[in-house]
Amino acid sequence: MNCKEFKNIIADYLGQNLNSDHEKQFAEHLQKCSECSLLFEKTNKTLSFLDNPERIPEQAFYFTQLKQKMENRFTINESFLHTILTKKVLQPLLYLASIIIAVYIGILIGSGTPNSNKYSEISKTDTSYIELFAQYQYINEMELESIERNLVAEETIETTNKK
Amino acid sequence: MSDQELLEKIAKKDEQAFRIFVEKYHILVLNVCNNILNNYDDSMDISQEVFIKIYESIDNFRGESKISTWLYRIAINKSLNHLRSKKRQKWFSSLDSVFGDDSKKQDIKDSSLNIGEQIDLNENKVALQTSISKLPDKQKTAITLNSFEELSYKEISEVMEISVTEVGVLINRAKKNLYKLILDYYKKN
Repeated sequence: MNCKEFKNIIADYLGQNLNSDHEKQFAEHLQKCSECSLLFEKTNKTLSFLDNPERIPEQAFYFTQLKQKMENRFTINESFLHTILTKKVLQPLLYLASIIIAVYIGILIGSGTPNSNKYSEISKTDTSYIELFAQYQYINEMELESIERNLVAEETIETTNKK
Repeated sequence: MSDQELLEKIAKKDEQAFRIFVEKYHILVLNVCNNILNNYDDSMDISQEVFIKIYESIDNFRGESKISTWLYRIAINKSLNHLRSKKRQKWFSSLDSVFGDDSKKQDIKDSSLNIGEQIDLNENKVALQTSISKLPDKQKTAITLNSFEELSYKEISEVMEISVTEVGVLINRAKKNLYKLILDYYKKN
């Protein structure tokens, strides 16, 4: 077995996947070749760390740090919410409301006073004003007639009565 | 105070109960994170994230499994997610360097590739950490829980929510790959 073959089957040897013949050849090469022996030793030593892992010991201020982190996060969330509310919600809403108000005012100014508008609407749909006009038409007539004409009419009536 | 009582009190946002819970379990969570991340600062950060998640979503714990199983699961998921996001950052950082934008270059810590740390640490330990970090996520989780946390196949199956047979297969594959990766490490160095 040469060095290349040896290196190719180290993993199989460690995984106990070699047959007895290969295992024998492997052991022979391991004894002969110092370079391969060193590689095998290093690999084996590294694998031994799997069974003896280093553990991080208890941390004295762990909870204090955790609490600080939670408080920081809460503050960040709060400021984030504040930013979202003001910049993404309130500000656009304010802009939208002012645009709507400006458009409404523009329409009002463009279409005249609210009263005339009201009259024009009534004139199209409501006919009650015609009856009202009919009821008071005489008042209008009296207004149209001059006072002198009324007096002349009264004098004529009086003279006919005397006769 | 039993774990169940502690959890009930934490659900009511009792800070004292949460403190007791954290002091009881932080070594477990911290070490699980460290076994996957191989970086003390990252492990501290992620383990704290685990406890914050527990504090915020304690109602989701149905009590069907052991608390330790639940903690292992959250710690592993958080650590693996952290590793993935680190990989993404590294990818984007390399893109930045390709396009010559040095200002966006980020100092991404990668314990398996940090030369300074490698010099300080024992070579064997570094070889092992580097090799484990190259394993696929499931194999990495299985071998970490089995070798470092000394969990049984049944316990690992509960944490990973897979069958005991699958755990065995994963650990065998992980060991085979690990032998090859360690050899490759020494061949290259």
